[in-house]
Amino acid sequence: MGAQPASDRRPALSLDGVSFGYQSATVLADVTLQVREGEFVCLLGPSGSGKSTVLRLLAGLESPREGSIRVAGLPVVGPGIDRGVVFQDYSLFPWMSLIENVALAIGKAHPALTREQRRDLAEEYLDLVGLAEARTKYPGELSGGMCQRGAIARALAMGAPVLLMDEPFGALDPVNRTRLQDLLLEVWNSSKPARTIVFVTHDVDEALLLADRVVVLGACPGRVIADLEVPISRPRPRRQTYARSEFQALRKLVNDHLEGDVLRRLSDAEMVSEAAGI
Amino acid sequence: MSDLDVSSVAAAALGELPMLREDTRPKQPARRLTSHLAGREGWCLFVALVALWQLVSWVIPSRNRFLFPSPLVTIQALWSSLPELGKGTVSSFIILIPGYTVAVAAGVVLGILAGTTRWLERLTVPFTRVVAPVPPTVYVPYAIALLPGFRSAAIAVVFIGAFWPVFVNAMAGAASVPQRLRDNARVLGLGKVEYLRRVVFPSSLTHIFSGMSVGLAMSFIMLTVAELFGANAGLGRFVQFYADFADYPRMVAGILYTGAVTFVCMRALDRLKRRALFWQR
Repeated sequence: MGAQPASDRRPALSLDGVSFGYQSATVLADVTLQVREGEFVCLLGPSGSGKSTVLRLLAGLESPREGSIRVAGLPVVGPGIDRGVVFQDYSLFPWMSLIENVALAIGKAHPALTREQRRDLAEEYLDLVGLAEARTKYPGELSGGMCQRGAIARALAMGAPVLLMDEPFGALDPVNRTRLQDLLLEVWNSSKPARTIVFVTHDVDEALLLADRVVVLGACPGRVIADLEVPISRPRPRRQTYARSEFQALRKLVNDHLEGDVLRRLSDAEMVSEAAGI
Repeated sequence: MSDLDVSSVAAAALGELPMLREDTRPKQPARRLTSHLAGREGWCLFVALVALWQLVSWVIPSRNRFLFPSPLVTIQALWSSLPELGKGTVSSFIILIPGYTVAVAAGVVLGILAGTTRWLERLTVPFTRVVAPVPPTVYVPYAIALLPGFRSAAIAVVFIGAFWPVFVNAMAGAASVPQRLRDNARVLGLGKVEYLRRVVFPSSLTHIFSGMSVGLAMSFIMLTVAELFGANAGLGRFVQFYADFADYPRMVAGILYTGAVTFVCMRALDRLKRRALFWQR
């Protein structure tokens, strides 16, 4: 909302002491996290670590039990068009063609535009993600990769300064996944001011390849167990990047954190069963 | 272009294509019978039933023939009463179309509202549980007594018959919009009306169409029952009239004709459903 000052130190998103749960189950415990403007942050964690929940909280789809969540300094009260969201699958409405899906989002973001202007703009964004040919197709006629491209086009078309992506490439085959990772980085690099991206994944390599910063979450309950900068210069061509020692050291560090969390949970479980006299 | 066409036609005529066809011929006869029948089993049953009907009408002693007309006699009766049946159809549709259309419109709108609004759902569900299962035929005599003229009474009972299935199904459909679609709508910031129109309605269409086909079958039942009571024209009236005069060939013809009209309407609804749900895989 309003003009964005150039300073890149300002937090675009912040969670402060956030916990979340359903009835007795605690999903997130005391999560504190800040994402700077224009930063690409990956949330990494095993299933049950509440990484998708963090994203849903940021999107305003859930409200925290405790703590506060702010976007551009303002408390989140619900979903808003200042945050574009891409879900793992089925992000598009199946009864609308690609262009209708994107035009609908544009209509919400820019209500002043005419029908034709919306469609023109939608076409531009579909072109950007390589779907110009398929614009009149329906999601049911498209592959998973194409649907995700459409979902990304829609999120971009809303012009939101923040993109929240919940395992967007999780259901794709490796080739499509690679292509879409490149596409996402391309779009992120070319937009000015740079968009802030929070990207949820359970794939360590994907996180290290994409992110400026990787936030590792542990499970039961979900909490931040590590917050690591990725000091690898961009662009990051896959083969060279995978071979770099910093990359391998980081991968080991992240995996150690993840394993440490698993071991801690196992020993907790043992202690519980010992206490119960099993 | 025309030269090319001529030459290809000529090539075909000179035996290139027939030769190809002959090569594949040995395998075909075995496949043909089953492949011709595939998808047409329903018609086979139909033909078999008519044949059975003919057989039974031969066996039945001649003094009972007037109660059990043969297919041929029935078809003759049908042919000769076609003008009357046509008029009856028009008269019936004057009742059916407004009753059914209003029922579908009201059922969809109210069902979607009740399925998406908590307090409306709490308000209507207990009432629905009690009232919807009441066989709507019980309202017929009272509707005829209460409302001015037979036509308005018949429209009202057709409405009642078709409304509940549509309403109940639309409500179920609206209440079961998948979470991911609701999340998407919220993320896009759709307003309430836009959400209902562009997300809930299309998402509920499968349910709505099953409600509509139950509702359509119900409207035909309500229509004919109402006409048995008090009409002076229409399909149900036709059957009742000739039954009163013991003209069973015409009565049976009327039953068959009504069945055919129902069938055509159900097929039309099915077509509409397939067109509206084209996006489903």
